[in-house]
Amino acid sequence: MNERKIWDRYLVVMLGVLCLFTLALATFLKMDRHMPEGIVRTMILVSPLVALLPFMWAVVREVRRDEVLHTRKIWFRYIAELSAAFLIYAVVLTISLEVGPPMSKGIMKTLVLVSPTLPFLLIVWAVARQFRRMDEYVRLMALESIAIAFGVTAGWVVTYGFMENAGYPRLSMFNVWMVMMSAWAVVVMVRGIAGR
Amino acid sequence: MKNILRELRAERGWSQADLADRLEVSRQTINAIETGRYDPSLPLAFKISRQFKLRIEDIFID
Repeated sequence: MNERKIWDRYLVVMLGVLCLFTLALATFLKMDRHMPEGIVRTMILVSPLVALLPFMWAVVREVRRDEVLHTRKIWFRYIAELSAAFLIYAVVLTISLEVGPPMSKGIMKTLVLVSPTLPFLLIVWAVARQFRRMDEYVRLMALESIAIAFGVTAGWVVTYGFMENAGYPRLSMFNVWMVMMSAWAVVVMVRGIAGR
Repeated sequence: MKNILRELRAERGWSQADLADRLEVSRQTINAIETGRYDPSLPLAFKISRQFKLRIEDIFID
């Protein structure tokens, strides 16, 4: 692997770590600081999606350099679909976070606050389509990475369950998602660097 | 399972990327097969054999 490629891969990894850091920071601010509702809070909560932009740019750079036309084609299709899904998600999430909290309790408030789930399903759909496009070896590697992330998450959840018995605070169910996604990202990055 | 994919590719002057494009798979897949880290599925093995106009058992050695 030439030096330029190594640096590009390094860039992707660093920006990926930045995304995870921003996501963790936004969650921390939301959970522990009880920030007042408003545009600042909304922006902080949406900031991980903005942090995704340079990451996506680095991924595009990396994909453009791939020598195999077939690989470039399927990755560009994936990036286009995923970006569109993320954009819709970001818009709906911003509106939901701005409009939802001040509403009086009831079914409408719940529906508005849950509404980002619909564009989130678009993201899931884009990922599922990419899995179908991948060749068998790449799909196997991707599924192995998910299995390792699942194992890490299971270990974390079980351990923290025992820690709660020792008096540690009860955490939001959302933390499981955070751990799973972070573990998945780290596993993919480490295996990518290792060139497996 | 061993194979002679690297030799066949070299005879034709193809890079891993060239063969990957012909088989519509990634370069990592070709590399994994050549280094014996991955045994292809039957459909992919047939695709490879058609590409080189050889029988599967001539390419993959048990």
